[in-house]
Amino acid sequence: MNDVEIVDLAKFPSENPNPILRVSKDKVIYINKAGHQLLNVQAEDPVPKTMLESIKKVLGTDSVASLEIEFGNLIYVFNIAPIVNKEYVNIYGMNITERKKAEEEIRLHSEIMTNMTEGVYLIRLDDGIIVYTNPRFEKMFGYNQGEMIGQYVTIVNAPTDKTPEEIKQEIVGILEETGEWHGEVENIKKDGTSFWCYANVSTFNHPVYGRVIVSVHTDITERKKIEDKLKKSEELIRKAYQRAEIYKDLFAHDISNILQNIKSSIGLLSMWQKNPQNPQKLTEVITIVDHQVFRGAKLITNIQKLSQIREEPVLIGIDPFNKLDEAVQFIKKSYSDKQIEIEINSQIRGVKIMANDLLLDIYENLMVNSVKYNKNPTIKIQIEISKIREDNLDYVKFEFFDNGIGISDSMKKGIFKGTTKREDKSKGMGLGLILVSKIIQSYNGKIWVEDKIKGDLSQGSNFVVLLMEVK
Amino acid sequence: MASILLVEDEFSLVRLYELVLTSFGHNVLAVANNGEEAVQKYKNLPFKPDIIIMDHRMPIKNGIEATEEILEINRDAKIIFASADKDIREKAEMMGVISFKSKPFSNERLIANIEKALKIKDL
Repeated sequence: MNDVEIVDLAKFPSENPNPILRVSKDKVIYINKAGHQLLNVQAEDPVPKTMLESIKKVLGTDSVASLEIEFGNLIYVFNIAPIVNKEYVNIYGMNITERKKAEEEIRLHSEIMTNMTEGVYLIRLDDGIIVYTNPRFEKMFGYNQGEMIGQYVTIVNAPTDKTPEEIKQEIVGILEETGEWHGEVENIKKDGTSFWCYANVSTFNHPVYGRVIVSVHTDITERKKIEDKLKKSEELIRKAYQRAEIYKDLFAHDISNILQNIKSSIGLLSMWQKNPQNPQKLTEVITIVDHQVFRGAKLITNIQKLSQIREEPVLIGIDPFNKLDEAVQFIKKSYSDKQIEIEINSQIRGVKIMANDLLLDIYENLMVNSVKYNKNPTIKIQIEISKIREDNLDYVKFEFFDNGIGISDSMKKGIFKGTTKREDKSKGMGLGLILVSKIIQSYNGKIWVEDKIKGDLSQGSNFVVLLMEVK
Repeated sequence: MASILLVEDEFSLVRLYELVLTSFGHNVLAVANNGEEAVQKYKNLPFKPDIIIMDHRMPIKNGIEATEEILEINRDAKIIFASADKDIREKAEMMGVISFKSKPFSNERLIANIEKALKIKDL
């Protein structure tokens, strides 16, 4: 090496864009231009305070120290290297601002992954092996830390009508076409319980694992439960609305007919006031008005009772005969102008049935029905009571035979289901029978109607009611 | 005087209509308590009624269905609807009923409608 080369080499530290210093225990021996610009010190100046402690630690030792110092937005690392048997150290600085930013970014992402409420996992696209799971994902699926790594992706998919493998293939197929997939998936935990997640799935090239699928899972089990509850509530509201519409329609119809009866009667009575008719006709019309008042009152009571029925009423053991006797007296009193014969035949006494106060409304409405739809001069109602065992349950069976106009087969099928062609306003059951049906339904009982004499509806009907016996 | 087929399932109303109609000099030719019975009676009556008073909401067959069948038998049958179901008025009128009486109506209105219907026939 010639002198020129030696001089040129001596410039090496001074031309270095990174700060380079040589310092003794208390002063700067050498500092290059980059160092001077950064630290604002020059040779013979005291050692910068920020470095003093680290320098003291390594001076006279053979260990190297590292020191990070921030200069505004810049971050530098200084490696402090002692020289053997010398009373000074060499300090080599380097700008690590960008590297620190990158590290911070990675640390931040890691923090996010660790603390986020969504579960995240990576699957290698080639073989479907799970290569990463965040803590939330592991917790969500009930696995220990790292336990899912290396397992096949299908361990997370619940078998529905499709197998876990079919679900995976379906999602991968869409990913290959569009690059992303999102939707609701039924997942399975380690303990076998299934739960619902909303998954956002996409693919990217990972520097280590190659092409991977990244899936972000949000546990939507609670949301699904709420949605299910909401659906059920909507269904209940829809049914309640439909019921209210039916009740409104029947109420309006019946009230209009009651008013028609009264209006026609008043018209006749007014006419006869000027031109008196025979007293029999007069009595007949007054009786009709009287019945319409009773009918209107019963209509109001039935509507009120309908609103009182609960799906799960409080039921107690009731003697069915007391209320029956009460209902018979009510019918006879209400239709005192009519010839009504009511006969009760029972081979059982002392039984109790699961019911409540609304039992009376069952009896009354069934008997009102028998009277209302009856053209005979003498209305006959025969009530047979017996015990019956059906579907391993003990019931008390009530049969209300009448000699009314009968019920056609087409009406029998839907009369207690509330489905008797309401949309075309064909005559279905009235509010009275709807009430009867609803009460019996709330008692877990049964009701249906038969011909009094099978195949001959002109002989009248038989309303059969089964109510649970209390043992 | 008109001969009338009365179609109504409420016995009390049948009786009141009978009293009203006869008071005004009309003749109740037959009574039917449902739509099916109305069609059968209309078919079988040797002398067809001048007027049919038709309720709508009845068992087995409703008034609209019965009207359709009666009008198929006789396009000129004169039908007066007397119903609580106001929402079927348009349908009934489109089918060609003479008039639609919405319950409750007065006896005088019913009689006036019958007389009007008879005049239409006379023309």
